[in-house]
Amino acid sequence: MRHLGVLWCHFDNKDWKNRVLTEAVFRVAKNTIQTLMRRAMKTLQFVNDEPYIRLIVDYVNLLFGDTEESAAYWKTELRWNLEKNFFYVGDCTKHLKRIVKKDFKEHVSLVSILERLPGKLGFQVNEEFMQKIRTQGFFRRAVVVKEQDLLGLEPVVTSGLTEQPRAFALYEQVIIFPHQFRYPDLSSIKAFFTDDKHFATRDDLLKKTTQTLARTAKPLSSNHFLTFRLWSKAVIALSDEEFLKAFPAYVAYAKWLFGLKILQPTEGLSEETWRSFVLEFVKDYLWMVLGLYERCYSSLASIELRDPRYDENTIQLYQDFLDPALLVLSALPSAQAVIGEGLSALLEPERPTNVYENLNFVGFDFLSERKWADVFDYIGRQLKRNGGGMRELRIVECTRLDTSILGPLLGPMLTTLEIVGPSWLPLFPSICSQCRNLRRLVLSSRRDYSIPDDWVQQLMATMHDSLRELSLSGHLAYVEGVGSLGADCLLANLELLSCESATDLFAKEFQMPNLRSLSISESRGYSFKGCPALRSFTVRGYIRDTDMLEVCQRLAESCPLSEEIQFPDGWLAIEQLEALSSSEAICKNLRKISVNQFRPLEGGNEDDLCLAHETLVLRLLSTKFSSITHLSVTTGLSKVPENQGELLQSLLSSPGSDNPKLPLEYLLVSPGRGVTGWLSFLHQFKDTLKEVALPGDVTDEHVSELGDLLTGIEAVDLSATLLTISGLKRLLSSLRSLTLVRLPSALCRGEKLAAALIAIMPILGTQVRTVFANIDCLVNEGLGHPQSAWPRLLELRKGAVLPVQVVIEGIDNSRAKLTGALGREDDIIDGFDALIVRRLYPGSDQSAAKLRLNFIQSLHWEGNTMA
Amino acid sequence: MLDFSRLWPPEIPKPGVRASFLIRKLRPELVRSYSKPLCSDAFSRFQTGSAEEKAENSQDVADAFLHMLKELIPTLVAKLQKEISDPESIAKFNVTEALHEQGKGCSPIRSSSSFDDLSCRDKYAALGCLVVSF
Repeated sequence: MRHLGVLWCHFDNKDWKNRVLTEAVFRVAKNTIQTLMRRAMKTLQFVNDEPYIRLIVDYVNLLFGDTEESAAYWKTELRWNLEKNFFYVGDCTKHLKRIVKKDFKEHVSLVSILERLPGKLGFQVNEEFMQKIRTQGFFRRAVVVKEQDLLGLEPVVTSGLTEQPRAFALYEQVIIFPHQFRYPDLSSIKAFFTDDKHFATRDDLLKKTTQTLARTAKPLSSNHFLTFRLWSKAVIALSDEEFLKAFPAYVAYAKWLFGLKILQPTEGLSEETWRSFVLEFVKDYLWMVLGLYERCYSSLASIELRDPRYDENTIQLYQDFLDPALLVLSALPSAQAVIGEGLSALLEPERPTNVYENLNFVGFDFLSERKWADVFDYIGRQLKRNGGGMRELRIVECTRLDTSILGPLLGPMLTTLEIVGPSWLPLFPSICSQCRNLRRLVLSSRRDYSIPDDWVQQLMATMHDSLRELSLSGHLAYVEGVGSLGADCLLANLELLSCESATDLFAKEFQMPNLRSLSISESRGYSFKGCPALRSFTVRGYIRDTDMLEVCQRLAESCPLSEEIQFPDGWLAIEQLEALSSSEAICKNLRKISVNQFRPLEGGNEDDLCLAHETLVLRLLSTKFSSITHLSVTTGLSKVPENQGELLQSLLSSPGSDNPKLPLEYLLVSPGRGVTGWLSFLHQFKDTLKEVALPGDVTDEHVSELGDLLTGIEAVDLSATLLTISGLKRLLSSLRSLTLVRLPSALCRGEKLAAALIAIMPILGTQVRTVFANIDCLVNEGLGHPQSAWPRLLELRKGAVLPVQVVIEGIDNSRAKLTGALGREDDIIDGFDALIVRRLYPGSDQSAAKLRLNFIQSLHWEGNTMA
Repeated sequence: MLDFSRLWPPEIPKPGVRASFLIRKLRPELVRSYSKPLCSDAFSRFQTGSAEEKAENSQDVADAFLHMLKELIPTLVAKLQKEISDPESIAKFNVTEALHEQGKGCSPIRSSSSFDDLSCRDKYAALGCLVVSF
């Protein structure tokens, strides 16, 4: 086309000359408008119609209006454009100049140009106007077109694409929609617009997107899974009102995909490609289960609390969206199992498989009681068809499950049964009578109050020979004369025991020669004579000093293999540690100590005594217990924060001392201050430390040194530090083993958080899975709220495509974003991909949504590794 | 990775337009139908052969370009003027298509010196891609 000028010179016929020059002018006009629009878009960052319509109107009037400006434009800029692009060969320029001197516009068809421009540029013009332009003398006016003649703008998708991809283009428009222009109720924004009809809101465009998809998704999509992803992104970001309208069509499409499409690979695709498509779909689907749950219910709390804006129908639609086959797939015990055997079972339902024999329902809080029945009905059918039985079943934090429906799945094949959360009492008789081969049994609920006293004996009557691990949320009592098993052998085979209390049993010195791990809440009256193999002992509740001393003395007497001692609510004092150190074997074997804090000495200046006592405890630890790898002092080391660095010196081996250095890997203490002492400490333990919380006086000037000292660190808590964004960037870029980081609290406030995340994302190592940000208040509206822009984090990672979880923690609530939750584009509008992850109950660190997000993240990671 | 951005030979460079050999290219239809094979590296410093060879390559491309200007376009113009004279048909005529559809047949692309520098395997890959692109 560059030689339109040559063509024009060779034509003698006036009509032909006119036709060719019209084509050249049309091309210049089209390109000029496109350039102006691109430039405007870049400067304005504004995708709404209004400014672009004005721009088109202005240019069209300049081009066609009968004005001096227009004549000057044709003679200068337009002519120059024609010469540069079409008339640059030979004498073409000279010929063109001849006609430019006379009336240039007489040599082209203005009507033809104006008729073609709307189609090429994607603006709609009203019909009346199009009829007028053919009338005589139309172009003899100064203003050829007015703003009201233009009805709107639509993106023009070239390359032969049809209506279906237009939805993608529309969605893209919303993505780059400037934040402050997205919400129609902001009157100050509306003032920018002269005409309400040009005020297309974010919701308008999303509505158009979903409507286009509803029309075209099934018949026109070339990749139905990709369409599902786009539709999911659009529907989740809609306002409540529009969401309710768009939801039925979305669910209908999803159900069509589950029922038909998954099993029918697109023609010409290899099996491997098809599996990868389905896997992507499964990940999107599982995220949408959580995203929609948050839309339909007020929160992901354990109490069923439906959002009053949503009626029964919407809730029913949500439950319809939950597909048993896909949900069971996500209940497989690992991401690897999903990608391997799980996908095969889904895609080839007729193929025999034992994949459904081991299921892990962790955090399936979104399932209603009725839907649970459907899911277990599906599992039952699959097991029956494959001639197998349930072997391992874990149900954790699923509050709406009526466990009585599990009855049919119980049987002699079951080796592991865990029910944590829902009431298990209705199932208890069946467990006792049918599960003779259980190796591991976990029954824990906050709802079961009327447990029979002899329930352990009932259990052991059938599974005494097989059961190795028993965890119960009740008190273990021994009722004399019930059952055939006496005190000497009732629990003889157990290796792990966890319960509220077992005082009765321990007071009677039950024989548990194989017991390795014991976890209880009450700690009085224990004798460990019957369990010499004990390695791990935990008291979950408060423990008095005297009781702790007694426990330590008895452990030292009877349990030489002790490796882990945990009193998360206990205050450790030097006496207890000395009691433990009386056993040489324990001094050698003990690896983990976890306490709430060190008890200060009594009398005198409290601060000084506290420091003196803590110094003594740490010194004793470092000199006597040579194998300690894990030291956790939950509330913090040192009452005076400034002393922390100095205090840690007590863990260092003195110069010339024969004591070997501790192999310390985890030091979990609430961070204080004293960076100089901390740095000496880190120097000594840099080869072994894996997790640490840095003190509050760490600043950017320490970054270089810290970078060298923390190279092997896997988790670092920087919340107390005074690092700036630049210091943080420098530090994180040198920590190549990092998988988890807590950002400095000072960088998590307000707008700073987004800036900090944008800065660190590109330099985070590929192995980083979680970024925590602690903020001071509840963040129900923090992430994704209209007033805070949310960066496209995965995009910033450049090449490292593995999703990261960004968790913003408030006082009793948090919000988690899985980057790229719906595809690597990471572009869900306004951060609607961030979910509330509310704790299931006070004091718990569990959240159903968080548990599910972790699983989806591991699916992404495993999928990438396998690819 | 193979980069085909300079696959088609350039037009004769015009003084004042910087690196025009990168942006103003001959149409594939012309290159295919031209009687001689043409070098993609003509008029550029990408050529690595002898001075004569370079001159010859550039001359061939220049000839093809002039052939288009002096023969193909005048022929097309004459044909159009002869066949279509009704003003309405002229106004509706698709000029783009007519210009692009000049020439028929296919002629091989001359081995340029840079192509000779490729390993045997890369040549096959490049030719394979060319075949696909045609």
